[in-house]
Amino acid sequence: MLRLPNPGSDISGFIRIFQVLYEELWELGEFSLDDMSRALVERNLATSCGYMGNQALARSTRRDRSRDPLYNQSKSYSELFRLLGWIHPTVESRLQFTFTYFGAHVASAQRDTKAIFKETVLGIAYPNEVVDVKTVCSLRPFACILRAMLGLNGKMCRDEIILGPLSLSNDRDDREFNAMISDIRKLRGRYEDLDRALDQASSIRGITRTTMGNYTRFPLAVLLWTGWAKKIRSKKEYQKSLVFLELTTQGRKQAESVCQQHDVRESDLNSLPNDEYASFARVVFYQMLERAGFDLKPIRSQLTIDINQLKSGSKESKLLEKRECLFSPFQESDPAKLIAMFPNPAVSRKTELQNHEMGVITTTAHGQHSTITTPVLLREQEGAGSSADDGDVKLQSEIRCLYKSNGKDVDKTVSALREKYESSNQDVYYPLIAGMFRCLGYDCEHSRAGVNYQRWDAFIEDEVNSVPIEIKSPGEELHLSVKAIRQSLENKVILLSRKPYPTTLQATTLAVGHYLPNDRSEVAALIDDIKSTYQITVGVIDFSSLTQLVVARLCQKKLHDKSALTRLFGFVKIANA
Amino acid sequence: MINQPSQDSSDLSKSQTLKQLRRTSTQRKLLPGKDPAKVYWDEHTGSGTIEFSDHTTSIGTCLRCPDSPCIQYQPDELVVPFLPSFPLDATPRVCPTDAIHWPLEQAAPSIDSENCIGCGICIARCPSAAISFIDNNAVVCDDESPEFVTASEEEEDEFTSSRNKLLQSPRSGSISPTGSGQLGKFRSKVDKAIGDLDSQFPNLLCRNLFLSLGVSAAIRRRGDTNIRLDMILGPPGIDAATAEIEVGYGGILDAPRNLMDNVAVLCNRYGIEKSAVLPVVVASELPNQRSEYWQLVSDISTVLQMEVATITWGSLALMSWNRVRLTNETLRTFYADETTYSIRTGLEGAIGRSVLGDEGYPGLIESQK
Repeated sequence: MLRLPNPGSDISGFIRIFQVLYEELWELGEFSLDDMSRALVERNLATSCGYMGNQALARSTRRDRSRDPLYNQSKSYSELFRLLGWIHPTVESRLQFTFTYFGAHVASAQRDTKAIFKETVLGIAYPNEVVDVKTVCSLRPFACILRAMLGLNGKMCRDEIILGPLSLSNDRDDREFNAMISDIRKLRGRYEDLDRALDQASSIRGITRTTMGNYTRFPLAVLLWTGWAKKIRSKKEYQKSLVFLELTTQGRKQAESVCQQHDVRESDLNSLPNDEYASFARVVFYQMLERAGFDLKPIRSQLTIDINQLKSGSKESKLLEKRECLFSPFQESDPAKLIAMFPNPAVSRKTELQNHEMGVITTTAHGQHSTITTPVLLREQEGAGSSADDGDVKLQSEIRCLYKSNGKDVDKTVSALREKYESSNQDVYYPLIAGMFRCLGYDCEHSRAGVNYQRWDAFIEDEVNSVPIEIKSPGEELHLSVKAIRQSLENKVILLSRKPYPTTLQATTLAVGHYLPNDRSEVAALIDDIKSTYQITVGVIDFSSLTQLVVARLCQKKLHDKSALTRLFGFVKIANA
Repeated sequence: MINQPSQDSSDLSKSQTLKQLRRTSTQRKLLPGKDPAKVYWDEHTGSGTIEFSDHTTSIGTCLRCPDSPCIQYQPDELVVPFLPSFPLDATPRVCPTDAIHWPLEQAAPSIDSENCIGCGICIARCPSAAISFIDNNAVVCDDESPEFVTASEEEEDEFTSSRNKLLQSPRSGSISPTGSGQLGKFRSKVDKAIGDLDSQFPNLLCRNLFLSLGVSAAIRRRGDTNIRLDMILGPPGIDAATAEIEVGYGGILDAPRNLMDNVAVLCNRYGIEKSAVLPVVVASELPNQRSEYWQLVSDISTVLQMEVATITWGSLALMSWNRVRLTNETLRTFYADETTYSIRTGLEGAIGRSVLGDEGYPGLIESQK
């Protein structure tokens, strides 16, 4: 199956991003991914680590570029724009780029970007000399999808697109194409047949159905955005209401036009002499521009020369000259070949800007907030280890047994318990967490369903500093996120307002989850924001830390200062005193 | 109609790119001596009329503006001054459903009635009252009028002067004819569009409605997972506001807590005074009275001294049709909690008239039981 990239469905968005990049960078001649990141941030088209503007750039940049979010984002854009033929890598480096002559026209198409984008997607063909995609198929995907829709009563659903056009090995083989149409027609009638066919395809290819679906996101977004298709629901085809894409009037017209055009691939041109190749490339490219609403008057004379060259050239050239061709040189030909055939938009400026610094961004601002931690110290104390609540006897026993069976190793005990509850849902997890707090000597209960004012998931009752607890079970989210922090804030506001239990502003509001956040800096930043703006303290405890405290108390006779948790600010950090 | 652009037909220099064909200008200007006194919409027919200082009148007719303000915003219209680095969605479309187009071969823009949701934003943008609601859809009038003549491209200044005179003329009358059921139709078309269009549609609709109320507005760029604010609003009229946009009842309970997050971020990271930021929930309809939403709004007011305004899409549309200019004070009147469950006071105060029932838009200003 052809694996198309998924740049998201905001096609206007990434076209705009390209146009902005062109505005900012075309004068450089060559530009890097860092240049792209800088340009995007300066034009408010990229954010990172919860920040906008220069702060985003500062916080994103890191030595390990593979973990630099903005760098990776620029890399994704560069891969997309290469596929679209709007940029090419330089001869010297695959991570340095130049805008193509085609890209320059996309950038200048302010009146109607749709028209030139349509030509672009129709120009995508595999294999090609521009992007290294390992594929054994010979396919012009968007043209193929349009032709297939025409052959299937003007509509196809996503799953049919997966099994049909995107699974062909050669879309110019009429037999294979017609067989594909016929196969899909046979599937129509019963949804079970379609479902089974998808399962088989998934199994044979070793790709999940979800992943296969992801490969269709870009084509579906394109079909809708271009206006070639609209979404409808239909039960007719499979006796089950499914979403189909149906060709619109203009989509049908486009599909019919594609059927009339001569689909040329780079491999067809191998035998062409260089001068005829150049003429052909220019003729088809300018025909693309003309269809996209560009005025060709300034280059008519060159075009006439090229057309005459084809007319008088080899047999292949004559064929190419006869029909309108579907071929996009900047998306299929070797970039090095094209340099001599087309104007280079940046050449005239490069000499003026040789001193421009394409510098490396250096900063260490990222991770600034990840250090909001509060140490909770453990001290040995006589009399520790017991808990009053009979209902927690089972939990205590479980923990003690695990401690023994793990050779009295705290880390192993914590890991074992953590793994045991790693797939728990709320019904198990909330009472478990409340029970663990009770093991630590807190008067803690989890909330019962249906009690409206109890918006929190658990609660530590105290005469002065009651603490609401927001719990995220692994079933809800494995790693705590800003969602839990927001809910913790809400819990505290409700408690302060409605006062069902006594509390103060100084008492914390807790968020408890199975693992700490993947991106601690974003969560820490929000905790800091809340503290600064509202003077409300949010504390975060992960399951491992909570278990460590419980094991310390039950098995090692070590206690912690209880107020350390009820005033916790930021992430808990357990340490021995 | 299609022009050959201004490009030398001599050999193309190496650095030049070709240009897209553009429209031959057929913009209109006022006859000399014609000064508009006011622009109004007929309350029965909804059609736009221009009255001149000499007491003559003209139908509102299309000026064929080269920059087509009924179709697109200019980039600087989409920036909110208090936070210029906001990663905004710079979609320049005025029409949230992309129903208005101006093909090269047409003399004036036209509106696809199938896709028109009757929001009236294009009507609000038109300087010459050329667009009006007919049978609940927006329609462009391009009829000839003796008060207007074609201006050549060289008469750009005269065109601009005519347009400015029209824009500065006092306007009256609601663009939605009385008893037309416009609001109810708007609601049902919006509900359908939500199912048909992409996920950014509700945000675009809300942004453009706010823009039509004379404030600056920006929605977050789609796919940006770093910034959590849905929308920000700013001057003129509003100092600073942050909004959460909600469709249906599903996420509305989350909206107040999201706003607390937004305000904290704006204050701590971008130095905006807490008292200067207005938090707003922009909802398709008001949540019902059983929802915890109202109590939560009250809690936030009590504890954080922040009054969350709740405003429905229908309220925005009604205010737009009545040319309300939104201010901090007006926005504050949209505060509602469990003691009121209603934004009637806010809306009626803004549009200067009573609102009868829900005008075909359930949950417009009163929370349903």
